[in-house]
Amino acid sequence: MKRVGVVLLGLSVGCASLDADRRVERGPALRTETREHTLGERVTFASVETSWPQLTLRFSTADICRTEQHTQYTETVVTQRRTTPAAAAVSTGGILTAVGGFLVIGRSLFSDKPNRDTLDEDGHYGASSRKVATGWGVGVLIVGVPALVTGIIQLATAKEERETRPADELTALREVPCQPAPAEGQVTLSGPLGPVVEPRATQQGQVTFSAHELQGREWTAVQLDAAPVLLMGEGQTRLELFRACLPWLTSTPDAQRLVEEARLVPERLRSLRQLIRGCSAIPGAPTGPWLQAMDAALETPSPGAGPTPQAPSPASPPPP
Amino acid sequence: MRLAQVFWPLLCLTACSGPPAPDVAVCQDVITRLCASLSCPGVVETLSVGPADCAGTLRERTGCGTEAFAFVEPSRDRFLDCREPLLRQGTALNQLPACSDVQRALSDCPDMTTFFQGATP
Repeated sequence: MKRVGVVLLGLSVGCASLDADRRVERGPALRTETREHTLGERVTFASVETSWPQLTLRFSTADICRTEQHTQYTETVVTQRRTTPAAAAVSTGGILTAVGGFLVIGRSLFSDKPNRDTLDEDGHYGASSRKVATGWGVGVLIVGVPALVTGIIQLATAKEERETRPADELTALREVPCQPAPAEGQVTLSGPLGPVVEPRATQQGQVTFSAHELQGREWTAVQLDAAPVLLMGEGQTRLELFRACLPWLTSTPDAQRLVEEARLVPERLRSLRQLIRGCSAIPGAPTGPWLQAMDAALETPSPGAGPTPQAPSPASPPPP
Repeated sequence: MRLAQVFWPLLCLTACSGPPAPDVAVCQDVITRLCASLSCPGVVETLSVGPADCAGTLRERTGCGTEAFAFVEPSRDRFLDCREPLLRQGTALNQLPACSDVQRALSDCPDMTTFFQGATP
């Protein structure tokens, strides 16, 4: 019986929850540290150089170097155990324990005579007042003692624990190509329908195309050994400009057609002039004749005829 | 767990009981309950007693008036079994049985009825 009581008390106290709140407070930064390492994943790059009438692509492979900036600081882990239910548990458990204890210890104060006003089915008199008091006392103790013990434990553990430890945080990350090396292979200029020129082998990591062999061909991507190539810096812009200027700079301006264009749709001619002027960014680009011809056409006085947008564009570049 | 802790005292209170009552107390308990139910149909005719001195008559017939009384026929256990319907309303002496319970006790236990009629079963 004694062992059963101990087990019941242990189970009651063991099942009581002791909740805890945990938070982390960040302390001041101690120092910053920069760590560099390579990812070991080599990527193919290409730089673009234009010098009319040539387009030169230089290929190289490079690893990815990652630079991480770490800040080291101290952080404090604060653990606070909840104390709100402890006082109520101690109060309730204390009262119940006191009442139960009084009933059990002071049971001799109650009469031991059976209750002769009742006779049960088995022919027994009713329990004596002492027996009733003892029963209630034990019952109340069973409820009160675990509550009291739980409350005391909660009060004893209701404190704040602080643990300070070093911490590390990644504050900046930068990945750049590094350790470049020339790349050799077969270069392909591809369009929507496939390669537009025969694959050409690089020599010392570079390959050059002339404007005339690219004239009239629609190409959108550069590949080295059938793998896509990442264009470095302004390479994409230079490539786009060379491709856009190619139809115009490989032909000669027709003064008569430009005059007609200026008379019918002068806005379109002005837009075209802006494009040709942008082609001047290509070193050696022969934009002079075009600009002069268009300026002359735009300065030619108009006879006053209304525009006819449906008219064919006389300023269109000639077919290849 | 909590539920058992709360109801344990109640279980104890209902299960705990005092010492066994003597046969005379058991017999007089039944006499008290039967005599308090004389207004129920058929009880007066079955027991052949009047309302004037019901308890005295039954004590005299059965011998329950003396402290030395002890059950022979019917036995104490049989008598307790027959008494059970009379306790449906409660075991306290001031809780009277329902008429249906009294009629059932008398009809289900002819030996007890014979005992109170003063004849040997």
